[in-house]
Formats: sequence, C-alpha cells, structure tokens
Amino acid sequence: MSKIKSILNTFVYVTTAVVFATAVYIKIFWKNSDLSVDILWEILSVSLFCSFGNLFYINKHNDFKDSWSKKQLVIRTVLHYFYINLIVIGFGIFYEWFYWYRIDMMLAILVMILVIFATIWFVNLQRDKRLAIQLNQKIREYYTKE
Amino acid sequence: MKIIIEDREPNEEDMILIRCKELDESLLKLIYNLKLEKGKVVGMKDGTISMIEPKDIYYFEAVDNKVFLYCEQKVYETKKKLYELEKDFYQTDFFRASKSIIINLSKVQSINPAFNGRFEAILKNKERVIISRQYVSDLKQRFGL
Repeated sequence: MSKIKSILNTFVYVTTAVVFATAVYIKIFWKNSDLSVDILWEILSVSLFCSFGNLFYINKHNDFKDSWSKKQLVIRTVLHYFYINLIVIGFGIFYEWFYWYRIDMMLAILVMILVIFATIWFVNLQRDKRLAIQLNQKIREYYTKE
Repeated sequence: MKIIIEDREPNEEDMILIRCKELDESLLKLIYNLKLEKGKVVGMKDGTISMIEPKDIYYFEAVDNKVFLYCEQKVYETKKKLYELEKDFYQTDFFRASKSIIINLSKVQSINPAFNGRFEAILKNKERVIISRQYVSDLKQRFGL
C-alpha cells in the first residue's frame, strides 16, 4: 500500500510540474496551434509513467529498501533520471509534441526535464529539512528535562 | 501531587494506580519510565549473560536472523525477536525506525534528512541509524506533528 501511496504522491507533484512545463513549451513552440482535449490525457499518461520511476527504489523483496548505501541511492537516482528522460522523449515523439530532428525542441525538453526533476527533488528536501527541525525540537523538549 | 502507599492483600498483585484529571506529558513520562524499569533485557556477549537496563540500550538491530542490542560501546546478542521487543517496549521511548531497527529515542542527539525521504538519527554515542521513510509518519504522530 505504501508503494501505491508513494506513486500517487509523486504523480500529483509530477502532473503539476508537467502542466506548467507544457504551458511554457506550447507558448514557445506551438503558440499559434489549436490543441485538442487529447493533450490532457497525454499529460496524465506521461505523468503516470514517470511516477513509476519510484519503483527504482524498491528491492527484490518488494519493499522500499532503506539499507542501501548513499552510493547505491545516487546510482538509482541517476537511473531514475534517465528513465524519466526516456519516458518523456519517447511519449513526446509518439504524441508529436516535438520532432527529434529539431535540436531547439529537444534541448528545450531536456532542460525542462532537468528543471522539473531538480525542483521536485529540492521541494522534497526542503520539506524534509523542515520536518527534521520540528523533530529535533520535540526531542530536545522531551529529553532535556531529564 | 500526593503519593500514597498502601499495604496490599497477600494474594493481590503489586499495583500502581494513577488518578488524574488528564494524562499530561509528565504523567505519560512517568508511565513510560515505570514500564521501562520492569523490563531488563537479557544480553549475551563472549559466552556470558548480562541483564541490560533498557535505559542503557541505544538501539536494537536484526541482522541475519539474529537480534543485537547496542549500548553506548558494547554490543550484545539477544534471543528475543524484533517484533517481541517492539511489543515489550510498546509506548516507551523505543521506536521502530525500520524493518530491522528499534531506536531508543532518549538516546537520539539529532535527526537529519537523508537521501530519498529517509532520515538519519545521530545517537549520543555518535552512531548513525537510518529511519525508514515508512516509519517517519509514526515518528511524527508520536511527537504530535
């Protein structure tokens, strides 16, 4: 259940970021186009597949493994990042969001993926830092009275 | 606070009765400490058996189907399973931090975010223990966050 919850949580973050990025992308490259409703389903499908990237952090026993070393987690994060690129570029070409032979479009997509990935990572880190501050305060309150 | 000590009947069990308007933090701490006092843990090291006070235990860790208890500097093996220890020390300072670790929160010096939603607890003896992302919500609940 925690795996499903984690994927859904990521799905929400990624969908928000992808909608924003799509708005920027369309404004730059497709500003005079008429878009169909299909774009919404396309965005949702890409977000969902991107969210499955969380499975990179699950071990063979089907649990989120926490005893991996920092090096192993860095490797998995890099693999996750390349997976995201594969999904977005693969689906993007399939949905004809951009053309692989247009260097400007490809570069814009790669930069957007990097920015979204880094933003979500940063937001999560800041949230964890805030929680750590609160936890440390509670521990000090509870145990310094002894 | 009044403390009253009464004699009990011979066939009665020793009992501590707390009468209060509400269970505040200080009373909860008193109850936790009473629970800890009764439950020494049997630890084995180099062929000798020791009775370890829970307040001296920094954390329990399960490795290769064995459970070890870590004090400030010494490490003992215990025959109890991790789930049994979790049950024994329920509602005390001991907290299930991951599938293989139970930490004594009173021995935690600080908590820092680690990679990928995990947290790292730095203990008073400078050891570092990971708190799994799955158990972070339990920790938040424990501290009312």
